[in-house]
Order: sequence, then C-alpha cells, then structure tokens
Amino acid sequence: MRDEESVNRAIDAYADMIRRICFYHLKNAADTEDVFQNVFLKYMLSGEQFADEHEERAWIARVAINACMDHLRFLKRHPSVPIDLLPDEAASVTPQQRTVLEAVLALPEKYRNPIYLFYYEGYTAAEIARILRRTEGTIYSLLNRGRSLLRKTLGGDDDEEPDQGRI
Amino acid sequence: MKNRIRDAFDGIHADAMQKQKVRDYLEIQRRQRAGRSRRMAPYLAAVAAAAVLLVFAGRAMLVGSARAVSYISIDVNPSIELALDRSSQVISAKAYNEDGEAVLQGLSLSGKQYTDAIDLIVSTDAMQSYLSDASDLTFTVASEDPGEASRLMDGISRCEGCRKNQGSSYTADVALLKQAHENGMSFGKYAAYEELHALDPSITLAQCRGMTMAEMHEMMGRYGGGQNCGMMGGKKQ
Repeated sequence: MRDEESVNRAIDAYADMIRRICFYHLKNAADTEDVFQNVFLKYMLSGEQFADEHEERAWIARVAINACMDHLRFLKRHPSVPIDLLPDEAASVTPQQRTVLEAVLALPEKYRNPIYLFYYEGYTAAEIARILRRTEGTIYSLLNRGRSLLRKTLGGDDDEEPDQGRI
Repeated sequence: MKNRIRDAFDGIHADAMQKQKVRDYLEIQRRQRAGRSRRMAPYLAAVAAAAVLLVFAGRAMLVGSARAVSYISIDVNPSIELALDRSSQVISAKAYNEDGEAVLQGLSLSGKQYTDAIDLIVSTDAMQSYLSDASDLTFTVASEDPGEASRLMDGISRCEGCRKNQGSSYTADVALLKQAHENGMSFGKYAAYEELHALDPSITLAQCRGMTMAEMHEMMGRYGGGQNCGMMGGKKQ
C-alpha cells in the first residue's frame, strides 16, 4: 500500500485530469465522486512502479477511463452527457468554453478519449494507443474522424494534425 | 482547435472539497485495511497451510486424467488460448501477447466450463477496454473430435460474453496449433494470417502480429475475402 504522502501528492497532481475525464464521460457529480474515489483507491493499493511522472500520469488516465466505462456499464446509462447536468462546471465556464465542451460531449463516445488525450493532455497517438489499448492506426483514424466532426460543429482551422505527434 | 479545446477544458477542475473528500475516504480505507490485516493475521497462516495441502492433493488426483482435446482461441487485440479436456473444462489458459497477459492477470480459469471461462475473460476490465463497435471479438475452435468442435461453436454462440459483444466463431484444423505456436501466435490469429496471406502473399507474420482482428478482417474484406471462407476449412458461425 502506498504511503499517505505519495497518495496526497497524486491527488494534487492528477485530480484535475480525472475530473475532466469524468466530466466528458459521466452524468452527474455523484457518479464522478465514485470514480474519483475508486481511481485513487486503486492507486493507493497498487504496487505498480513507474519510471517517471509521465508514465504514472498515463497509468492514472487509463485507470480513470476504465473506471468511467465500468461505471457507465454498471449504471447502464447512455454516456451522452448534457452539460446542464453538471451545474458546478456549467456555472464557471464562459459561453465560448461551453460551446466547445458541448461539441466534445456531443461526439460519439469512442472519439472523446482520443480527442481529450491528444488535444488537452498532449499525448501522441502512440501513447494514446498504449493508454487505450488500441492500435496506433485506430487512434489516428479516431482522431481524424473526431476532429472532422468537431470541425463541422465548431468550424475553424486545424492547428494540429494528429500525425504530427505530441503537441 | 487545440487552443479552443485546451481553453474549454481549463475551466474544469477538481475543487478543494472533492480533493478533501477523496482524502477522507482513503484514510478510512487505510484504517479499515490495517485493522483487518491485524485481526486476520493469526488465521492467515493456518488458512495458507490448508490451501497448500488442498492444492497438492487436488493436483495429485488430477494428474493423468486431464488431457487437452479441444482448444479455443480468443482474439481481439488480446490473444488468449484455452485448452479443454473431454468434459469441456479448462485445463489451461495461455496469453499470446502482452494484452492477453493483462486480461488473464488474476483470473483463475482451471476447472471451469469453457462458457463460464469465456464470460469471465470477456467481462474483465482489461478485455472490455478493447471491445467496441469497431473491434472484432473472434473465437476460433479446434478439436480432435469434429463433433465436439461443432458443440463448442454452438456453446460459444450462446454464451453471454459472445452475444453481448457480437463475437464471431470459426473452426480451424487442430494441426494448425503447432504451426501457430512455433510462430508465437494464438492459432485463431494465425488462421486469420494464413487466410490474409493467401489473399495477399506480401502480408507478413510480423505485420499481422501488430494488427487487431478487426484490422485483419477489414483487410480481408478489401481483398474480397473473409474469414468465413478460410483455406484451413474455417467456417464462420
């Protein structure tokens, strides 16, 4: 079992990322709290050793995504998330941010993880493939299709091609 | 696009209360677990000793009676093979790639009926992370007894793990196992490789090792083939 100091450091380092992953998967704050607790409990009990923080962050991201998927399966809910069911966040975002978040949440579920991990977390397609346990080719195609859908909703330029690797 | 997405998600944070709640929860878990292990310590040694005795006794009784007569290869991206005895119970489970190892980690399948073993495998978090609309859950059956292969195919198609995930099942010649294992592949994936290679001789084993079953099937489709018309007598169910 990891000591309290390590766990507290992980909470400070990764809580925001887990919150965002929960945000685009889950329906309400109570579900998010369950996933939050499960992810950090798993981290506390895991004997997994990480070469560096980057590897640890990727592990946490994978555990959080899996926890969200498990939770959704358990609840048998459709993963589509209306933003107005997340009042805390909805109150704090600007109308521009809200438009983008709604566009991301409106994507079919399979595109959301690659889009978030690539555009926000800055992982390369190869790293996303390892986190999501998919092939690199699949990730490229999910990123490209997801990006096309976002472009249709949001318009605008393409300032980053998925095949350019890390942002 | 990148900047807009970054800016939008920058507005989402875990607040101080959420962090404190998870800290409190973990503290309770830590105390409970510490207390539980202190209380259980005197009993654990006795239970462990009894378990060791049982395992040895059980193994001694089973040696000689269990011989593999049928095999099921389960491939998505993880590749796993189950060896079954005459009563269709699992004798052994082996992973043929790292993803398969992750799926089998912590699973105890020996002695289970093959349908229960499949349901367990398919329901693991590790396997579920590969299963989506875009993936192909593929079962390939090989048996010394053709009648048994047919029964196994039938059982697979009716088990929950296959139905819920739209799995497909195929048969293969039992002789294919040796060839597949010599090449470090499950026989299900190797059968797909052979089929693909027949359609395009430039396809190599190394390429196929890095491909998912969905990608292999998609490529077969592009060549106008499909794993239901396999060169090894494959048959889709």
